[in-house]
Amino acid sequence: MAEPTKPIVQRSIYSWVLPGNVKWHLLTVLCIVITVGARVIPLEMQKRIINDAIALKKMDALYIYCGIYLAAVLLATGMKFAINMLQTWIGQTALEQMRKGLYHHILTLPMSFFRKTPPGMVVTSLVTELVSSGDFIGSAIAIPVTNVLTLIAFAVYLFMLNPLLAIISLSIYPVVLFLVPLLQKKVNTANRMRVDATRDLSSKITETVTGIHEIHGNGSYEIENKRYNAIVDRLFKIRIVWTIYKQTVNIVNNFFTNMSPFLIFLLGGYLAMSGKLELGALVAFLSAQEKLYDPWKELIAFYQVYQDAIVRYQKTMSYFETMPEHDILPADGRAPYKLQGGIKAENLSFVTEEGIRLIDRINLELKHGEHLALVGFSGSGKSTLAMCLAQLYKYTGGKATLDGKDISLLSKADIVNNVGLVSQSPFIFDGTIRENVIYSCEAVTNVGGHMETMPTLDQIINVLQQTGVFVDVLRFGLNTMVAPNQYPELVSKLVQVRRKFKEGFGDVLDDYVEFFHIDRYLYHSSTLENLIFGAPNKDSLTEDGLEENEYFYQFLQEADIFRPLASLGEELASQTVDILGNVPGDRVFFELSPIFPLELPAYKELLERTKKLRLHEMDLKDQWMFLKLGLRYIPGKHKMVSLPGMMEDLILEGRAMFKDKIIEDDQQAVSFFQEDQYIYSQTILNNILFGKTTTSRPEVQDKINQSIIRFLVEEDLLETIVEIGMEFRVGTRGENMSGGQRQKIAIARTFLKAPPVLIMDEATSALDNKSQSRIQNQIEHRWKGRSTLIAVVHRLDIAVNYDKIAVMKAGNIVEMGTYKELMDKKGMLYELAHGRQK
Amino acid sequence: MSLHTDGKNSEIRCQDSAGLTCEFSQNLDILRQVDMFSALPIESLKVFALMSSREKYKAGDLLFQQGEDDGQAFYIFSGQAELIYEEDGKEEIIRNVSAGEMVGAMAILGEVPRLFSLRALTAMECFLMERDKFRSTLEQFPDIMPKIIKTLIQKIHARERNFIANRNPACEACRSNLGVIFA
Repeated sequence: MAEPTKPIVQRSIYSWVLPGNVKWHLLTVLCIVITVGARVIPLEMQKRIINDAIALKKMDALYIYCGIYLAAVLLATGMKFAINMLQTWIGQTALEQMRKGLYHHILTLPMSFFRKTPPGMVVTSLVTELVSSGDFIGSAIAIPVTNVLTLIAFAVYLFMLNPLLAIISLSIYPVVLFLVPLLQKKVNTANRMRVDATRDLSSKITETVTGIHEIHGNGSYEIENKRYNAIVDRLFKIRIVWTIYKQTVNIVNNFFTNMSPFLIFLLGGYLAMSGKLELGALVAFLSAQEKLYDPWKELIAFYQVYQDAIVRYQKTMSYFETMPEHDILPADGRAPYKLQGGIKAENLSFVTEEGIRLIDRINLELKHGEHLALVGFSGSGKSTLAMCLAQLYKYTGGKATLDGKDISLLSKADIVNNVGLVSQSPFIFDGTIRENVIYSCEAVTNVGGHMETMPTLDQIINVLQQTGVFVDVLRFGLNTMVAPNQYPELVSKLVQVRRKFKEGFGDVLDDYVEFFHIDRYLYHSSTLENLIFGAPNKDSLTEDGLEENEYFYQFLQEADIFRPLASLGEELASQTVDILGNVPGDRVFFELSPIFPLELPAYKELLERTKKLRLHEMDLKDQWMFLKLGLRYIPGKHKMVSLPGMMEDLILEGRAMFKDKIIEDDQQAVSFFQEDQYIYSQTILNNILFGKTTTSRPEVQDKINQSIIRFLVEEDLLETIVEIGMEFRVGTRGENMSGGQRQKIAIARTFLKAPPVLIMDEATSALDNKSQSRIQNQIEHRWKGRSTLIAVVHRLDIAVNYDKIAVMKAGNIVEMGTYKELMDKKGMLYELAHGRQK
Repeated sequence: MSLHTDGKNSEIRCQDSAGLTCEFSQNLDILRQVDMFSALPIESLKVFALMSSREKYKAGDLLFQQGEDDGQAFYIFSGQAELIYEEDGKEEIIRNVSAGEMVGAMAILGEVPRLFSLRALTAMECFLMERDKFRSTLEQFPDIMPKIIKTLIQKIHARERNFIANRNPACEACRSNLGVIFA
């Protein structure tokens, strides 16, 4: 990547115009010259048509002149299009580069910058504010050149027709040239204020959205309304002023340019009457003069765009004009250091910009491979110390070194190659588990890291096991539905061994699994699944397609289940609307609802509308709405309605009827649940079980997992399933995983990097005891002596086996030693461990 | 179709043809009997009832374990269980709990490790509420928090009163533990 010589935030807007675009600009200018020529021709033709062709009644001349006229117009139009395309290309390229460059710059800015900067600010800067700069850069050459050339061409033409008239009609423009910049200054001032106010507005909105729980909690709607309204009011005033000035520029310009025909009529009329001017020449003069107006207007508009772009560009760039605190790559181009991991802090202090001293003259020394636990009350500076050593905060006093090298002078590449950080609330990015686990390794290879090759599958699986997230990943794999032909070997193997699994483990699982059985009602499957009892191979038999499906409708009628099901659906709708009608559409509430959040308003309306009607009196369409819910109904999940016993029998009869009907009419439409066939509409787990689990109790899940793992190991399928699980998408911010899973993934990605220095800031706080001690075990046995560790610890029992414990209070280390030493001393640690005594 | 009229006029009544009420209504009935919930408005109770779940346990199953933070409250529908306190590897049975009791409700209010374990003595059926779901629901009905705090204060007060009434005047050390919650 070619680094620009100047940081992007210090580049002027003009610096984007030429570099890299010269050939495009030249092409544009060429097109413009052709266009300008093509624009003058019609004027001359116009004169000749009147003076030569019409006056002298020459038909053939008329055809020729008109032909040339038409060709000129076509050429000018085509060229105009080409110029527009070139402009767009140049402008969008610049915008793309600005967006990328600025984002790149923003990412490297220090943490302190982001504490002050609302995310909305960054969003508007990158998304909207730069757009006008792109537009300007695209037209920076094309528009002025086109229009100035056009103006000159017309002006010359006018002079050739009649110098006196030309001087008079052009005399208007100097006045305009004087007035417009004066007004534009006012526009710019208003525009700058507008940018600021818009920025405040988006910050306010972001604040509202992120703090909505606080607003609801306090019922502070009025306070927030007032604050928001104040900004909107300010923006309102600024925009009015801004628009008025902008319009004034246009009006002044219009007025003066419209004055000029008036002068021509007056003078030209006089000259024509007195025979000093041909009529054709006057007409040509008038149209040429009128044509002056367009390029002029375009120039003025361009001037406004230019001014607006400059204001926005400078505002945006100056906002981000902070510089990164550390070089990304080593300044002298050397490879990143390979360090041992000895850490030393001397009189290390960190004072915030507001002057709050978070850590105060800390001294500590750790040899390669030593483990230090930081303990103390919250606010004692533990995390700050960890962040300073990880280079996330730039310490303000004293010195901290890694193998004797000053941490604040090391480049980011040096740090990420040698330090692994697990933060308090690790961030998991949208993507697959695999992507998130190799995230740190991938990042290291991007900054000239030592890790030549990316981790192998075995290494990844290994680290998943070390952090205890292996079972979770396996679970994700088991809950995946595979597409036909995606894993043909796995699928055929699973079908073969399904019976074996049932023989081996079936009795253990009987209590917690509902097996697919042709004669049994499935309480953990939907009514539709119960009816079809198979995987539909046609979209028309999936829920979305059913409404149009006449065949299925006929079947429901024949089997006498249309009305009972619609009626069940109606009951479900009214119960669900009653319970969840006024609750926001969060996933947590609608997990157990047959109605999706987005459908709720429609069902509310439907219930209201059909309140007085009986089912058979409703439109078929409304009946279908209810029927849809009836088909979606899962007795084991949708607890607001219980399954009527009569319905159960009807559905089971319906299942048999449906099967006969399908076999008779279209064998390919459905793959019925059969023990010797893989069911693609079900997860891998359900395929192994040939049924569904009936509980979400964690310890039962564990039990099932263990049986499945043992089985998969026997059948040599474990790795494949884990691989599938690693492709699980974690969702934005990892929302599809639990807090514990997220922490485990974050630890896994740091362990996978295996850095000489590990910094863990309450890295296991969301884990249960078992997972916590598993990771503690790993740290003690795998990493002691290998990597230096600084761990902020939220529970004292974790700290027992650390080489050193530092107890922090109010930014200081008040005591340091082994667990035993400190307990025997009966000092602060003892007090923390036993609570304050009396 | 008798189903038709049912859903419309009744507030919450779901019965199948055998006259069994649905799980949701049963949950709602339970919540109305539990101190922490009984005083809350019906709209919130309905959501709470929907968000709670039902689980079956076998004799010997651990419902929760000392030292863990599982974040669940249990209401025992049927069966019996024992509260166990473990110290230095020795189990001490505190007492038995049986149908109709709510156990471990503190866990849905905040993060605390269990002080006891609860083990099923017989086959059991429980109604349970998870902390995350409880909190999400609470956020939707901000005005019920004060009511819950009020109930909580009454409970703490009753407990303290109990402690004082049952104090052992001979035990010097015990006395320093009386009457202090926030030191």
